[in-house]
Amino acid sequence: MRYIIEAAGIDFAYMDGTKALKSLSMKIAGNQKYAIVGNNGAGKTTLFLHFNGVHQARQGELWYHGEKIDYKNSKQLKNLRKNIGVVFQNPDDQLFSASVYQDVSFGPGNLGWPEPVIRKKIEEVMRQTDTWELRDKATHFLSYGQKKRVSIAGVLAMEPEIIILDEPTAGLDPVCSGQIMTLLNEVQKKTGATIIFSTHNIDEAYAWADYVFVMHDGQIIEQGRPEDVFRKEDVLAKANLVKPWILEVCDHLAMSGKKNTQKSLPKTREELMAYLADIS
Amino acid sequence: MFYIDQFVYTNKMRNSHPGERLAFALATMFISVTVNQPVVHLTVVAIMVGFLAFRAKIPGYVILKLFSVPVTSLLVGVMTIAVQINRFETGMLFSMNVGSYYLGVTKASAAVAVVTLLKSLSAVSCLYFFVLTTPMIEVIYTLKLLRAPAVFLDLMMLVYRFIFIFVETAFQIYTSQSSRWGYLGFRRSIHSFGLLFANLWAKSFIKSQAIFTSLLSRGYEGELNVVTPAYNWSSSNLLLFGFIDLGLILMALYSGVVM
Repeated sequence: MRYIIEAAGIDFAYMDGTKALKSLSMKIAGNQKYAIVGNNGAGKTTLFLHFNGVHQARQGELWYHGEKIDYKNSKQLKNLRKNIGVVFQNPDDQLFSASVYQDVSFGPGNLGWPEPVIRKKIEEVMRQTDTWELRDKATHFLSYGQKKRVSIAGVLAMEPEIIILDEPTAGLDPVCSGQIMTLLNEVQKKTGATIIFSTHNIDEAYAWADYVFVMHDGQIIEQGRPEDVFRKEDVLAKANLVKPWILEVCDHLAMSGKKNTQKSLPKTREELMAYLADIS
Repeated sequence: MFYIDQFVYTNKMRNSHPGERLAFALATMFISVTVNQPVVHLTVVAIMVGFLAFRAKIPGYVILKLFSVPVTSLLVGVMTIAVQINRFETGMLFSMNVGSYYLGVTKASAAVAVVTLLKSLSAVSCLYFFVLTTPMIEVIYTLKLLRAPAVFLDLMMLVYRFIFIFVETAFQIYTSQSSRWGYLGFRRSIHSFGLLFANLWAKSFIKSQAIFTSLLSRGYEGELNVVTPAYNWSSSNLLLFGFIDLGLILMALYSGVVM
């Protein structure tokens, strides 16, 4: 399999000596949905900033499409930042302009595209994220959920190969976070981009991701398909996580001898209902 | 403070090109400061207030409140022009004896004072017309059209955005302090305010770093390359504005001397 990003043995320490990443290795392929779960301070945000070259690995290497990243090569770095888009957790850290439209235009503006192309792209991504109606509004009059969608639009506008979202649903109500997850699905289907998101919501990660990474104390302690990883009690305990409730229900049914003819495990509430109806 | 901003963003004259409003405001302001007839000044004030109230649909009390600020300071300023000191009482409409001098208002000084008052007021109304119908982002955009330096405009943009983040942060700290008795009593209030101020600086610093990181992630290279929404010139607006200014000039020419 060809990978877009490969991180090999990355170490990173903040200026106060706190080690954020400890010899971390990770491989990210194209057209995938990844989730990274882990407790606060596990180093998720730091890792994301390595992926787009904002933080430079002191030790270890970062590979992009089989090419080793050389931090002195600004052309390569620019290309990396275009293709690895990061949506930050706090939209107020990302929205620098008081104008919603202007903020979305910032990324494509930096890519040096001609203005008509930029305008077309802005409209496309703003319609996709349901923010087109907000284009004449001031950033400071938007709600938190609206700001979040605008910051996603700002990253989508650069047409990245990988879209990384740092806790995209944290602090949102269930309806809003549902909308965000649906949006991510649509984007993934439409563009074929890889999406990586970090979350504390393990049910969300289980339902949504094809592949999960469990991060703890600057390291990846487990990775694989969500239904495999989230069954490992020791991993869950170490990373302060609990088993997704849908998986819990299924395993409990299996333990009590109930059989189901369906091959795949249910991922969502609706799938679970169908699963239960089918049980014998 | 910020509710004004809200009215500006929702005003009904926003949908056309901001440049036409700037040109109109500047041209009208130029006419009002070159002309000395009170009738022209009063017309300018009436037109601008009319636009704000009936076309931009800014509530009357907001306009009244905003005008009360310059009017008070203008009245005080104009008073010093009107009142003169002289040894003799001759020519003064009314006067007051102070030692061997007279403090009083002459006919000429009163006239100068009235003209100055009206002239300033009409210029202020032109300014208010522009700023109340044009959000800050569009003001910055018009400055860009006028070829203001990019660094200056980038700074303006960031400062404007940061004002809101700054105030929001300050209010959050204030709320969290006052919910823990931080502002009960004078001494404690002073102490709490000191903490608020110090932390606000620290937080601003962290915030600016976070913004910088996110700008870098989107390919920032020292210049904020942004595209503004496309604004359309409205020919009916331009015609109306041109007609009004022409009318004002004619009014000035036929109602007396231009200075």
